[in-house]
Amino acid sequence: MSTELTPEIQAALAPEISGNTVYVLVGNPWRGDDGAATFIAGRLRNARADAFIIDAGNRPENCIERIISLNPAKTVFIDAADFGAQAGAVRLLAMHDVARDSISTHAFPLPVLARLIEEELGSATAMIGIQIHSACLGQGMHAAVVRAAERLIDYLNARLDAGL
Amino acid sequence: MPETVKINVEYLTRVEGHGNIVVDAQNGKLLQCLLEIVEAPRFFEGMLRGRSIFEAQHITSRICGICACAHTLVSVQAAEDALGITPTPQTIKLRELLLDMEILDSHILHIYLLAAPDLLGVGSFKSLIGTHHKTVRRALRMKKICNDVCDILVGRHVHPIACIAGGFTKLPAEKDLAAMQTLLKGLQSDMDATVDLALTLSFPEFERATEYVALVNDGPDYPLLSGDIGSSDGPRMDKHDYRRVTNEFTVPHSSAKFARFNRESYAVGALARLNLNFDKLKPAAKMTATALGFKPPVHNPYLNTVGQVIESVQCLDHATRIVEDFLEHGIDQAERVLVGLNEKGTLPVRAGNGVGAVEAPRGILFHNYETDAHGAIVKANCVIPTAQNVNNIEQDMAALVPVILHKSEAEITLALEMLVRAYDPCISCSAHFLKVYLQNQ
Repeated sequence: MSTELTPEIQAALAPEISGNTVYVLVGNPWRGDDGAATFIAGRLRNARADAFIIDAGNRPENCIERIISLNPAKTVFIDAADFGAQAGAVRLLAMHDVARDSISTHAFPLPVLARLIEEELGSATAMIGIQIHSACLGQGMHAAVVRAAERLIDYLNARLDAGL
Repeated sequence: MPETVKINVEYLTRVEGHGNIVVDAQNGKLLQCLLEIVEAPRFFEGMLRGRSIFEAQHITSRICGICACAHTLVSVQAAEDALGITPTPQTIKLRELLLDMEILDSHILHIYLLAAPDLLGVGSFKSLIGTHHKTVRRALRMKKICNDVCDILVGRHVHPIACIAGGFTKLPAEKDLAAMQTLLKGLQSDMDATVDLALTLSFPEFERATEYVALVNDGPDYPLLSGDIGSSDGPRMDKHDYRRVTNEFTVPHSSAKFARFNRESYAVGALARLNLNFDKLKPAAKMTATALGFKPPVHNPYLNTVGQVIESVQCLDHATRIVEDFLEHGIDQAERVLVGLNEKGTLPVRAGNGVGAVEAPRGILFHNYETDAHGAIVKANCVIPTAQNVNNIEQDMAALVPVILHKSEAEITLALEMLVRAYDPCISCSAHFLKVYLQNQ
């Protein structure tokens, strides 16, 4: 299946022309495809002074002070997701489409984190989802998810290396 | 003045897991008042069967994403009890530190993220971000520090690696202790602000005479890690007799078992601990209690959140003292133990039956393992705090509803939701969460 990045996704991923861009990569590498973002984080080569990579693991809420301290003009969350597409599909997700936005002591949903950044800084946030095949414990990543992750790595490295 | 109401809260937000509140009152008479627990059982006890007792803590810590350390600690305590291992004083202190940080982490999240939206009158957590984003950031800062201390101590933010039966696989070096000290010092101003926030909050007035159950012991410290089982109704019981306390039973509307001891139900958690052990609090926590007007015995379940503020101060104070003490006297690195699955016979193994009893953030937690001569678990039982509280929550609801029947449906619903939230239930761990159904007849 195609993992081409649409112009919409490319625009969401592209570093801001003016101001800092923070990429927050979220996921648990112990849980199969949920480790896609961590896989990406470990392979990014960032040469830009105005772009920052944060491998947030499965505790993105613990990165909020770091994110805010960078005063980003744009914060891009990249996470594995299940939006009913074929494994490896990449989609720009609307925060209100992310199902789990109910807070608990056990989980701090990304839309809530995005809202906090927007309230605090008044800056933009975006969320890129990679369709999972499975997020079961102890599994490796599905080949289609790996290909999608590699496509995102290639795209981001081209922008982060060249400072385009 | 409805007097006749049928309440069905199908989705109670800001608790962990899934459950429903069902209330049916007609002509001022309460016909039905249920807290339905609709989560599927998780079968952790079944998963433990046949596994080595040396890996039990890694499995059971997955019962909960917020009480992972408490499950680990109670698991290794039960394992050591079964194997006949006595932990060293240093190990006990490090375990106390770990538990302090987890209780602090969990309480802060409940106070700020789950209870505060109701108490500040903003209705939802999303609204709280809009009106109090600095406050939310404070909560997350505090949470991160707790997680960071756990990371230093046991190798991960959650689901500890280094804490095992027999001790720790990794012991903090002096630089680790210094890092923890810096982190804990950094918490103090946010803790002060937390107490200041609590001073501004007002809680619903409601009391019901309740039996409270928590760990008690004869030591000088506020008991969280070990002790006997105490009850506000007496008597004190050895932890091995936990089944005589929990007396679990099933009801058709709940996938979590219910519990009862000397009365029709009992409560565990911050309120229970404070009602039984208030005198053992550190001075800073006692001063906080005084400032907040908390004077045990307290029988208002809504004040469990106040109890959590007091315990947060206690845990920070206690944790800081432990770290300072280790910095002063050092850590004996020779106590480091590497056991794995005990393939090399590092620890002696015997057939046994061990019980662990630890105060998790939401209340007393029991694990019981029966092992064969090779250290394989043949039988396991885990009794979770929320499962012990569900029956009591239902009894509270049944006592509260007749008192507030004159109020509007929205007010009744909110009062019930706040009541359940006050217990900080972890329904997903007890079996999982909450829906309330309310319809006027």
